[in-house]
Amino acid sequence: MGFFMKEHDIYVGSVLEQFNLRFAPAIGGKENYGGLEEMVELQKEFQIFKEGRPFKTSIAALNIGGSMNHDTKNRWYKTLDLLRKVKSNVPGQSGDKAIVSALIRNLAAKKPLPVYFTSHDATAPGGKSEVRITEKGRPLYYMKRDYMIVSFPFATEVAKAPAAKKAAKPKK
Amino acid sequence: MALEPTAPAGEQSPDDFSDVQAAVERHYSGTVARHGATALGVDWSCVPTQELRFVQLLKLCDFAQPFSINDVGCGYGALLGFLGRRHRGKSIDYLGVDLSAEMIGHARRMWARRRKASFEIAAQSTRIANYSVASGIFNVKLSIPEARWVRFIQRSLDDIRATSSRGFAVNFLAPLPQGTPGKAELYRTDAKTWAAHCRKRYRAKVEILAAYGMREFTLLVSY
Repeated sequence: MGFFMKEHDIYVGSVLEQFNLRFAPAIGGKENYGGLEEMVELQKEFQIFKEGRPFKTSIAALNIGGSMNHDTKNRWYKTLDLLRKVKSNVPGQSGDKAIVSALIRNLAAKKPLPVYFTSHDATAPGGKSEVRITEKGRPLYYMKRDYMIVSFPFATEVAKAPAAKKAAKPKK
Repeated sequence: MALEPTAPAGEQSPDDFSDVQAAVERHYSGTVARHGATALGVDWSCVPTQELRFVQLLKLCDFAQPFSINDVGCGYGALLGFLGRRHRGKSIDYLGVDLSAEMIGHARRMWARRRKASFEIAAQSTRIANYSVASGIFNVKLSIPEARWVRFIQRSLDDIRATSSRGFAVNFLAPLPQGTPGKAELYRTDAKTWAAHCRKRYRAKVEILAAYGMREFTLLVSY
């Protein structure tokens, strides 16, 4: 995935930033709520993320990426649609299901973690076209802060399936 | 912060807020023209955050019995849609008022078939209802000086009080952490100041709701 964005891939960073602000930790004191606290309350009240509901649907409801121009937004949502067809590092779960389940679990936790959304190169040597969920990590070297990490597999183009060998014509 | 009204010599009459209302009307007619009848069109980030505010404001209301409600600064009438979904079957008599004719135009088209619901272009409610709610109407002060904006809020609260027989609920943006730069056109304030104002001026019981995950607070004022 990633190639759906085409010439709009210059906006991928901006969209990810929108994710990261909406799931960000609070800055300042306890009473200074941040994106994460808002997300926890929204989840509690409206069950934004729900098993069986596509990740894209919840993200569209939250309007993440929605303020981009229409073409970028539509391509981004089309990219998220593809998560259902992508594997994840959670055994037996598609990328979509893995993200939704992880977010539900995290937002309902006693101490929910902020969520950091990023991407990795699905075509790099050893790379896999799978969504990677890291339950707890430190993605930002400049912040002493644990996050849950969601990494989307991006690539510049669709990986071509290896060409099937032509069956030899039977000799007459 | 002091909330006592002051009127420096030469300044517009403290009772005339037509310039403030005109600026607010222009702003929201612009947002709805750009984004349509959506959460963005009324300056909220998305429907869920818009509705989480409704959840807080409606904690004022007793849904066990029929009631009437004024929605001040109703925009395109999102609260009416929320009431229909969240409190289906409840007997609620709704009036939405807004300064923006464009907003009211959207609201009337969207909710034309809704019974016990009406919309008016107005700065304040034109009837007395059991409750009034106002979501976000004090947040965007644009380039209006803060002292004048505070007087505008005081006046608006007086109007809301005068048209609500049981109580009203309003929300405000809370201050940012110290040192965090904020947008100059937004009005942020502390809960205690306005809670004290409502308690004293309206001899009302005031509940402050703050722990709902947003950098803001809701006042439930009942009497």
